[in-house]
Amino acid sequence: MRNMTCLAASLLALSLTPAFAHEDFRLVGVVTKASSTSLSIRAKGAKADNAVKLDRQTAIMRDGKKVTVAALKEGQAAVIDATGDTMADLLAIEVQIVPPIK
Amino acid sequence: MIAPTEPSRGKIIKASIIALLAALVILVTLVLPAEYGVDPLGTGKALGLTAIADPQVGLPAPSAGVGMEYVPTAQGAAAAYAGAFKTETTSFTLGPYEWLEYKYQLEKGAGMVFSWTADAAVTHDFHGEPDEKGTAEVISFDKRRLQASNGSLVAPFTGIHGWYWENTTGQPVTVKLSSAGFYSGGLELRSDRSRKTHELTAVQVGNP
Repeated sequence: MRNMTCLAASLLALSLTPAFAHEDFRLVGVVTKASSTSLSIRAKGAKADNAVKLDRQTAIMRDGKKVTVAALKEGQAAVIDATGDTMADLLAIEVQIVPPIK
Repeated sequence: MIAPTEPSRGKIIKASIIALLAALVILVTLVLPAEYGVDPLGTGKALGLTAIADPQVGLPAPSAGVGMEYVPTAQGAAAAYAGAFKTETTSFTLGPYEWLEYKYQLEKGAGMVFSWTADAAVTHDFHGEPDEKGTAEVISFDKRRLQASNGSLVAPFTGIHGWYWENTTGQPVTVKLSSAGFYSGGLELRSDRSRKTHELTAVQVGNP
């Protein structure tokens, strides 16, 4: 009984621990909409898009080099690292244009 | 002047016998218990002499109480715990460009060993985070691109200690991990912000 109590307490403590050393949200998928101020992406198997805001600090990368926001096109595969409190309120820190994901 | 007289033969024999008996008594009651731990009359134990022949060395008693099973009590290079160590063999599949963190809860000074391999090289950060913010900094023990690693850790602080693995390719990558240690639980965190606790079972070796 004591061991079960101890195990339950440990699991509860672990589940409540913030614990992310890497705080960003990461979105991986296909660009569905792109503008200079926002980007929408649909993950594989997802039914809806996720939208993120872009600002002047957002880094757009391809093959390790920085490119302009004009390089973002519908249909491209992209990996977005974004920050925000929830998935509905994300600001992209970095967008990587990557090869098509199978 | 009167010349000293030599003791008689009988007196010499008598004195020798007395000395021999005294030596025998000292041997049996004091020397044998202290030097060899042989104590036929129990005098060595009564006088505390048997401890000289067989000095006891022990670790401090392990911490007692709920939640204290994995708090080590250390003496030099050795440590004792109230609970048996745990083991885990598990695997994680990282989708294209996904990352995950997997960490164990360890008390300060608690130890663990591990080995992991991956299908392909991954970005990797073996690190620890203290439970109490401000008590210590997050420490990276090994931060580089790897495909496998074998190692051990003695936790520098109470907190979660483990790995960040990132798949930087467009193909899924599986990471396989085996570990053993005095950890209380495992926590898996993914780039989709999901989190999952791993229930870990202590090895069964019977009570000491």
